[in-house]
Amino acid sequence: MSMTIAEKVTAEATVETKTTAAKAGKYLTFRLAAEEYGLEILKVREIIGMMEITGVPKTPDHVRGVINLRGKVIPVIDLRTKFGMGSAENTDETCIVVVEAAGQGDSLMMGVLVDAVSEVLDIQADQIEEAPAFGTGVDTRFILGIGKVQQDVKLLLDIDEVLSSGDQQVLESIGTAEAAG
Amino acid sequence: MPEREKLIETIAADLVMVDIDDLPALSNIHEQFLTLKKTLGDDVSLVACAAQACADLVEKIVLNDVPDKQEALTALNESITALQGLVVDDRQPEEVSFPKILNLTGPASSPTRSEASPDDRSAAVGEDGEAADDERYVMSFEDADNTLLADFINEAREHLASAEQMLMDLETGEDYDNSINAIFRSFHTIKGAAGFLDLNPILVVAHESETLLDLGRKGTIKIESRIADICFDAIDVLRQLMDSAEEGLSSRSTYDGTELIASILTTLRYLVSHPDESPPEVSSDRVGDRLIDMGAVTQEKIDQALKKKASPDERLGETLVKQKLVPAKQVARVLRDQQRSRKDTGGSAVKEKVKIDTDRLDRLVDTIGELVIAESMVGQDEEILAKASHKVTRNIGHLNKITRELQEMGMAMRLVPVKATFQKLARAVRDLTRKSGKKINLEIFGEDTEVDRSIVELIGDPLIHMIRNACDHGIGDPEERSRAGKPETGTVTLRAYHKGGNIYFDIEDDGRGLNKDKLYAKALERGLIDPGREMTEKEIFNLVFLPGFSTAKKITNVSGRGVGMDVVRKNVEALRGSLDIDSTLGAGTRFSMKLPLTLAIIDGMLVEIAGERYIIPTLSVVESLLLTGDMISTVNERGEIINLRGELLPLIRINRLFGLKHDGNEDTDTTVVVVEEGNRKVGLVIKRLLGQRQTVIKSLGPTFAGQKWISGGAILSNGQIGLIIDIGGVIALSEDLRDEIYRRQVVSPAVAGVSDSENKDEDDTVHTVEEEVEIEGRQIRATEAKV
Repeated sequence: MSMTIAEKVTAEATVETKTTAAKAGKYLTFRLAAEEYGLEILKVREIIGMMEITGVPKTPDHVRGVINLRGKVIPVIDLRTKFGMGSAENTDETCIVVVEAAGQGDSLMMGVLVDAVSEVLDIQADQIEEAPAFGTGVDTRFILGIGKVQQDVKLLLDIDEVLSSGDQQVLESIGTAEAAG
Repeated sequence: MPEREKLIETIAADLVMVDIDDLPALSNIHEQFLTLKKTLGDDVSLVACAAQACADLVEKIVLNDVPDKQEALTALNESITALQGLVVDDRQPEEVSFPKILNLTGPASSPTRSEASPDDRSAAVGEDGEAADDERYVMSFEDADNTLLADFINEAREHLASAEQMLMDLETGEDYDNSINAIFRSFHTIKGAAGFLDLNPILVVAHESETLLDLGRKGTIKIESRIADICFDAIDVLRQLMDSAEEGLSSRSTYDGTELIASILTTLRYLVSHPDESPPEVSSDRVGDRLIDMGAVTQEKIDQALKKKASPDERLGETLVKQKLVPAKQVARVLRDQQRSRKDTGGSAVKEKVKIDTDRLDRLVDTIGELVIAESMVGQDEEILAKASHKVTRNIGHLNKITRELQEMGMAMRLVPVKATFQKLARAVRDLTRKSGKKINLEIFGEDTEVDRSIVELIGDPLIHMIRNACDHGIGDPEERSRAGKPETGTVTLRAYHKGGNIYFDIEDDGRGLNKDKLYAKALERGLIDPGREMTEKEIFNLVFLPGFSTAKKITNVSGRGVGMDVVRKNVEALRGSLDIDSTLGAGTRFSMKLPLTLAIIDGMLVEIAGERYIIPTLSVVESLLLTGDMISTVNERGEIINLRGELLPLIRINRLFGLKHDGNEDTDTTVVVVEEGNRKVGLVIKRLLGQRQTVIKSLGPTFAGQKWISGGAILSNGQIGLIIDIGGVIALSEDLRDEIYRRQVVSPAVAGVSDSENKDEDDTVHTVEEEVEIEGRQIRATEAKV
């Protein structure tokens, strides 16, 4: 079907506003290194203080290990390492945010290690912009958008993407990588 | 359908109240009868005919077309009572009677036929045995009531399973009358429910089967061999219909079962209308047959003996003994066997049971598991133990006792007897024997043995496969067996028993046995082993577990494709079990499957490695010993070995393998745990043993699914997680690592920059080769992390 240019532009704009509108909502903001990030509050199950993490040998560095959450064993991912920011010492403010992400198949409970947790913000659609194609240091697949709240910029993470993409494959490829050199 | 019942109740109430001259009320009743008829759709059952006839009668009353209105009304009341009997109380047509005025012909007047076989249908079946093919059997789920149907499907499946079991008992001659009644009742119940729920395909198959069984229980025909086959087929078709119903229910669609049931319907109808054409076959439980099977006597001798019988009342056994054809001892034994198999296997008082949602049960068991963990965290807490007074210690002990009891009860609740799985196997053997023409007798022992629910479903496949193997490859055909001096009927023995905290399943056959030379040759031919390799008998037998291995000359639709046994073994190992083979050429083979009693709890040895705690499954542990530097020898570039009482045992240093930190003073003050996996033995080097624990296994989740060296986590008494080492995975990992080292050294020594001389420590043990790879590995991982 042919559309006039004007129609096409409007159509695209509507799609865009629709998607940013879909991203509006409450976000839990937290700090990683020097930057602020947000993730959808509906996916957050709980926030726990730093606890002893049992490392699982021969797993990628960003997979810190597993913890015992009231009898359930859940993996903990170090987001700093995952985003290539280099790991840091744990401080009093370091927390584990337990999220329920849509993994392969059913939803999966995982913990993400953050430097500090800030607050829950209600971010409106007009405060969200698409992420630029480059320049944020974090893979754009992982970003839902950029939230502008007053003067601060928060990178809104697509936590499902962050936690599901790549981890499985990376682990499987350890075997092949070592064998192939 | 409850609506039908309600309708009938309403009509009944109205009829009682109505005044003979109340035309509007009568019209209403007329409408209701027609509605009733409509709800039955195309069904031409007795109920439908009655409904129509009643409607017509009401019409006649209204039109003043009856000689005596009062009599007609009475007749209507009687009819509605009869209808209530049929629909609400589920009575048989012969148990209810419709007044003559209704002029119901056909179904009502032939009490031996059940409801849904009116004249026109049986006429269509007629002499040619062709089914009425203008009839379509459909079931619709668009407005279906989920719970009602789900319950029906579950219960129907249970009825089918018990009918199947009793059908098999029937064939072995046990308790014919009780069994056939019970089977009849199963089909009847299914039929009734299917009728309510408007599941026409199920209704009609159940109905025809019921008719056949009715003839069976009246003695008109005997339910054996060919007829029994048909009954089994009917059960299978009904099972498929249940599955389709389940699908239809979840997709809210309509299912047309006409094609599926066409053939079984034709057969059933034919059998029902030609009962005289199926002569009762000889029961194989008779003394004569058993003696023939035993090889004690031949058919001719029996025939001759029968001719010379001293008196008509004399039993065959007596005759044979008197004529000195069979020694008395053998006859006595056969009679005893016959008695034993005829004894009622039931008889135990039926215990009252409740049905619980499995979800609830699982949650209860999970919560008990968490209680166990929490209890141990309290009971083993150092702070508490330090300050504990006598009273506190006693109370903690009491708490511990109760918790352990709860744990045992929780585990017991998850146990189910293997009987159901064995029943499936019995059925499989029966089908196999009929198809192959071999004579195979399946003996089952220990069917009341209980296993964890999670295991019982998973063992079905491996067991069926092994039984098929035994029937297809193990047991030969009757001539081959007689030539070998064996009884024509082969025996496959299936045995389940508990031993030492595990459950064992043995499948033994008295067939051909495994031919070592053939196996070896086949493996060689397929390139599965290297030529010139020495193998022990056990190793050769274990070749059958290699993928692609099959020495069957014929490929049946059951075996021979060479994809079986390796999958079986993988499945068994996935359950943390093991498979063992023993065989004697010419005498038979035995497969022994060992499984842990439950998948959720592991018996493990807690060990300390580089300051961290790990668990080694006790199942795999052979022994442990203190390690000193002088015990270790090195094999060029391949790693370390120790000599354990003459056996050379490769060593795996877990701390290095896992990239953990150096374990301080590695050549004294270390322990080696000797573990066994399959038929490989290795020594795992750890720091020290901390004790034995029975812990609940927690899966690490899909995040860690790609690695093979940690099989799960256990929650320790201090609340921390102890990772459970997967022995097979660790062995594979260390082999990969060694191969990698070897490859680097051979392929590009300059690039790898590794050589013995450079990397030897003061105390002369080779270790840094692995560390080199470790460093490289870390670099690889670091690069991948950036991706």
